[in-house]
Amino acid sequence: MDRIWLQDMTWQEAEEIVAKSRGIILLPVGSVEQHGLHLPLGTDTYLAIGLAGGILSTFYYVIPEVGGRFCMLSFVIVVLGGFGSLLGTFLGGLIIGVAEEISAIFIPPVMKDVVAFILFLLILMLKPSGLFGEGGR
Amino acid sequence: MRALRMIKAELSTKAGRIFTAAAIVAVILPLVVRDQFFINAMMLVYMYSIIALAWNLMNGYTGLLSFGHAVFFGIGAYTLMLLLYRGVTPWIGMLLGGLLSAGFAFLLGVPFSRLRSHWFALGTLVLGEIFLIVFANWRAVGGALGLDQPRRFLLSPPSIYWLNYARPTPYYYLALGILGLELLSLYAILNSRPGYFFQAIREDEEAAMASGINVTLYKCISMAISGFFTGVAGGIYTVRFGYIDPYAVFSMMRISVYPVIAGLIGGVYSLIGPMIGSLIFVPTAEYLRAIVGGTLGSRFQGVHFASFGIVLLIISMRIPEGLMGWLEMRGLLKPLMASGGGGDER
Repeated sequence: MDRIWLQDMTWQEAEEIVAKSRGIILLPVGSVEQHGLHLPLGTDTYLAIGLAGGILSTFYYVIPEVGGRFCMLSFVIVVLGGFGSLLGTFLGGLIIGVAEEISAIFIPPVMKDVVAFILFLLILMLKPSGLFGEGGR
Repeated sequence: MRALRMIKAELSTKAGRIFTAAAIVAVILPLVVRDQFFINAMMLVYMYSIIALAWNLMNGYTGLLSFGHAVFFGIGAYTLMLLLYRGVTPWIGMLLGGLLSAGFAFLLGVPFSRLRSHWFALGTLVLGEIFLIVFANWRAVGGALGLDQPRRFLLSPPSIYWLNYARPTPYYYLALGILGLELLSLYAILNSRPGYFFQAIREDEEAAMASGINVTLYKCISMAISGFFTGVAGGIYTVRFGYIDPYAVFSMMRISVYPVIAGLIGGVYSLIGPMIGSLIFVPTAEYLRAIVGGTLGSRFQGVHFASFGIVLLIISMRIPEGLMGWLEMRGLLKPLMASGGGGDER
């Protein structure tokens, strides 16, 4: 599944590729139009490209291990919020999400999970019952 | 030496004789069998046995269920590799890797001794993930690409000093020797005061504390010993494969979960249980990988893992006490080597 830029090809090349491919072709088309002073003229086109990319991503980058990260993070979130507490889990999710994204400003974004995990260890040490949970360690 | 006398007594029993015979077979095996794949598989059995025994000191004897042994393994592996780049012999690298692992494990014990049962397991699980991410993004130690053996090390002729052989036999003896040393030292430790303290902590932490045992200190010691041998196993991995990357040595599935499985198969309340577990698990896995993976693998990737999961599910449902426990319960086996399950020699 390749991403090919239509604007980089001659029409013969485009025709050839369309003839060869047997899948669905997403063709983002947008007008050139001014949208206020702060947006470029190609806004509509970029929106269309973004939409096509979004659709692509729903079936493009999927590997079996993709769930692993979310599994660990949900552990972290549940422990942070406290076992058996719906509100705690909800707030835990918010806290972890915000903490990860803010930390990505200061450290390489690939390392942001480390922040969540260290937060998790700290909660385990200092308040094992979580923010809203009951019971001890 | 009390421990030596006890080992002598153990070896004169029937089970002890079987054990001695098995040890002799293990020593002469590479002289008889020419199949390199088999020798390599056995080397892996010993390497994983070292990890599993070390892990079991924490889980089976001290009651600390760890899902993070890949951390100690990885520290040992990386230490050896980085020292190789500085021209240090792997023997020293292996020892230093073990010691560094032990030191780290000891320090880790200070905060982690506060955690109980599954909280400890969760903590170690997360710790392994942290190490994986950090090492995968740490440029100075190779990042996600990992580290290859230094070139001059690879080109120099095979020698015992550099441990750079191509065939698996020398590594077979290396792993076997370290496994033997580990068995002896764990036996000696478990039958001395610290060993009884560990088991007291496992049985009841409050009672142990009330009896005047420094629980935190002994948990740290247990983790340090466990970390040492796991780190040395990491060193064996490095000299054998000559290439390490964070996804291999800090792998949760392949390193951390592995001793848990071996303990599950072999039984955790006996000293050699995890070793028996490895002896069953690793060759099965290796041959499944080669045979099932080789024939069906191109069409169904990871089919050997799947078939393996099914075997494990059956084992954990049918014989939850492990193979050794199962044999002992049926009276087919006297507890070999005094263990937490109540040896007959004490």
